[in-house]
Amino acid sequence: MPSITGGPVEDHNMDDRLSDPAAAKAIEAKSPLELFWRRFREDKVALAAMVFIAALALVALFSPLITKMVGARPPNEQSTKFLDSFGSASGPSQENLFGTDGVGRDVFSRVLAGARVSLQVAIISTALIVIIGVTTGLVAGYYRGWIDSLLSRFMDIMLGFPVLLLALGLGASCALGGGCVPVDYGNLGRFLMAAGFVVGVLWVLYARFKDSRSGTPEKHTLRDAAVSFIPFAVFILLGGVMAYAIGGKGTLISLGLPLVIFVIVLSSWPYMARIIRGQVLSLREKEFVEAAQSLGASDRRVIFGHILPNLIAPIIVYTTLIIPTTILFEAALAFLGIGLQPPDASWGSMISDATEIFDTAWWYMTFPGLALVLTVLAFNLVGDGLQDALNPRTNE
Amino acid sequence: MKRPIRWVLMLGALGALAMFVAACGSSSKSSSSSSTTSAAVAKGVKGGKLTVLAAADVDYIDPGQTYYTFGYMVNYAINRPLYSFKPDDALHPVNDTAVGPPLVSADGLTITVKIKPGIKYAPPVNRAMTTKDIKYAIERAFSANVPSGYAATYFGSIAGAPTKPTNGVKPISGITTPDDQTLVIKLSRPESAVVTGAMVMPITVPVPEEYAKPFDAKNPSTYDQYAAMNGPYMISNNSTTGELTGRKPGKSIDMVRNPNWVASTDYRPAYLDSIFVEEGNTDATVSSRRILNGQQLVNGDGAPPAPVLKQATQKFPDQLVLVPSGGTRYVAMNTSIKPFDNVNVRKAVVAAFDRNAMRLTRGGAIVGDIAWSYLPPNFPGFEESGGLKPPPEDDFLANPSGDMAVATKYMKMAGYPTGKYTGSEKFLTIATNADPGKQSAEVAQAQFAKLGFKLNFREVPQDTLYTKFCGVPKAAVVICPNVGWFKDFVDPESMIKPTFYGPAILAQGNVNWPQLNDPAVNKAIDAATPLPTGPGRNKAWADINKQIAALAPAIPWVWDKTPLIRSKDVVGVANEYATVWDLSFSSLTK
Repeated sequence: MPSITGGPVEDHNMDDRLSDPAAAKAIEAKSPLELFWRRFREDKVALAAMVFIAALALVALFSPLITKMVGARPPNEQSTKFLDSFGSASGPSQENLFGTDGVGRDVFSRVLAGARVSLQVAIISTALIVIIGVTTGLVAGYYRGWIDSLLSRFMDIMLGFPVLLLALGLGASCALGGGCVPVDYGNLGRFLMAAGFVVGVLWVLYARFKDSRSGTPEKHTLRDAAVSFIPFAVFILLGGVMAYAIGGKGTLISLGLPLVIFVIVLSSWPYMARIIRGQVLSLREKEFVEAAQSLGASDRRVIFGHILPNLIAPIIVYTTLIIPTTILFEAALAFLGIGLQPPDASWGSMISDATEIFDTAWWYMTFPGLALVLTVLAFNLVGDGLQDALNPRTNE
Repeated sequence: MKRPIRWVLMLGALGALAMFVAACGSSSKSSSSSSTTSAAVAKGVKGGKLTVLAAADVDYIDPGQTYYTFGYMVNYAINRPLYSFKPDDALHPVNDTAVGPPLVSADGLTITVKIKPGIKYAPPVNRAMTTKDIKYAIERAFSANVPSGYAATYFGSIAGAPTKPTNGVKPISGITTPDDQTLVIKLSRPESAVVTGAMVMPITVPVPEEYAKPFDAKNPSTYDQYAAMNGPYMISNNSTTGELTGRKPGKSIDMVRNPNWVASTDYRPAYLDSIFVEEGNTDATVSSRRILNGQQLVNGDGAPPAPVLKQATQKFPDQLVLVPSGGTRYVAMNTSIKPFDNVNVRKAVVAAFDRNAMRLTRGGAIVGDIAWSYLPPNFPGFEESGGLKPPPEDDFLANPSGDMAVATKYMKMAGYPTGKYTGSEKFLTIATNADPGKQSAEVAQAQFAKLGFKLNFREVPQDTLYTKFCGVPKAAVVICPNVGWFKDFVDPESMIKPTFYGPAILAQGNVNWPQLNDPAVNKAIDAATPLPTGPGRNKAWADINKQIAALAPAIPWVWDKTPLIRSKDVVGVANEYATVWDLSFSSLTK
């Protein structure tokens, strides 16, 4: 399986193809990334979906600007001017492209604002799912034995959680005050940064010292040190976000996006971990791993330097499939009232609000619903396209 | 009065409209349908079965405990208190089991009531009621086993009345029964206006002691499942044990004629042969449409949502009736928490508030007049307060759509030179999580934002809103956007004293939501409480009403009306006191 990073990754499918000189020549002329791109761009549907996602990302990023440019009102601005004498919403018009909701807010600008929320949740949740899932899957699959049993049973427990009930319960109990689990983000963040840095440096030094004592012939490079430092860098990054982006006193889980992200990550990471574990169980038996081990490569070098690069393709594919799931999950939670709090807009909450008046205000459910469907569809199509492009066997 | 709490509690649990609480307050003839009137009553035909579509069960069948309108709807069909209201007149109670109006002694400390003979209980009790049963009914309401929502509030002035819930039912020395037809109540304070006014409430429904005692000995009392009934209808029961077999909580209530009911003792025509309450209709839109397009159906606890209300007004105008609910909805500001302890800040908020936008969340002008005070239209003290128009000196109440210039003026007076609030804190706001209350709360949030107030906005079920937050001063809720107070009986004290009297602030179950504790208001209330019923009393309470409005502890925004809907073949008669269909007066066309 080729790596799209273009790094020194063992390609086990290569042997077959090398038997055909013409194919070998064609492949030799292209880097793995080029190969991937050539395959991907042949999938016009996936390409169109990718363009849609890019456009959506831009819309989400610049939604306030776009709202202004088209002359729409800000998403939270209410106006009785657009309600009739019964307080009923008004339909699409020049002033309100997608009509208004029950309190006279512009549905168009709220759909744009909702895009921002959906992508925010999708990106943050997916990133956390990938980090936690991949790390756990790597460790469980590589070490096997009791570590695997322990982590696998933990995953089973996580998968056994009734997610919606958990979300509703947390939503109810964390709805008030500042939320659940009080925490000083400033201090905790700084602690995580300092601890991550100190432990990380010590770990790198220890590994180097251990390898030199055991007479490992493999040469230690800066890259090795960097790879070893990755897990600690995650802590430092997390600490930095806590200390400087969030800061001050707060709660670990508060109603709104933090709770949504928490629930999504809690319920989704085991799926990623299971897939990675399965892949690692297979990869660890491959010759290139045995070769690296026989050369005296440390576990972390084998895991991060040899196995992980070979997992990039499934990780990318699965990630693109997780994103639409998280978007739908967020919408479902918002529908149940566990999401952003008013007056902020999210597609799920808009659809929820629209259910009672769908027959009299079709636009209120239609536009956020359409946005949700198209976004999820686009991510799914891109996911399929990536899977095809990254797996040469599929193409062949 | 906690009736709104119970009422809204139920609605919150349903996720339905928390729209129409408690009793009415007027004999207004602004209703848009053929219902409600005596003419409609005259049209009744005997027989038939009416189905009431409800989202949930009644709170209680036990008359000592029921305290919300849907409970009243069923209770006033199966039970008869001392006094009650004819459907089209919520101002003047009529004798029900009583033979005449209560006689109050010259010193205002003794009330005597005589009851009609020959009013019998349904099986299995079967015997005629006596005043001893009413005495027991009041006494049991003071016990911990029968947690009445208002006994202590309205009957606490009875001599010997317990100040705390009693362990078991204890006799109250101030209630005596010289004979089976006479009830004498002695008061420790001259508050006869309140006690006699509250005699229309289900607490005066007789409870046969010998039958109820075993049930009341349990905590909580199980009488709710075995209630004795003296009205024209009864819930189907086991004729030996009295168990209400016709009541399946959350599913249905099956009412049939009471074989022991004597029509000559009652003013109710009781046209229907049977009434079936179908519960579980949690989607108000669906059930409303079912009623409007169906047959032999009326709404119970759920009111039509605003869009259906609009459709009903336009397409089924004769199947809709709007009953003045005799109450005020308002947004409470906690006057004990900065900066809302500053009257000028509060006035600024009221001035900026678009009360019309709030009203639109419930259906617009059709659901009631925009409020400025706490005594609703056609209620004693309303006209004396100035009617629909606020006093000219209260400029912050003048513009129902909000006036930012006036708001800015008051913010500056409060010490905010820019006219906007400059603090960065977020004020805890507890809103209901179901429409239309949810939508009202979002509108309120936007109104506060106009002056720079940021709200820590949290949505909870309506019952939680009252029982855990807005009704608990310790919870330190700053803004309660979904509160309202609706009358229990026709007396201005019942509207104002529980809700704005400083000493009425309770640690739990508090209904003085703004926590107003103004010495001048308290003093005026103390002076007005013992006044006898009449113009003087009304004037005194009207003055207090204006005094409170001038302190701006809340933003009153609608004196609302309850929409009731019925199928075309139902001659619906709305009870303006309970603001529900009167099951004892409604009938079918065929």
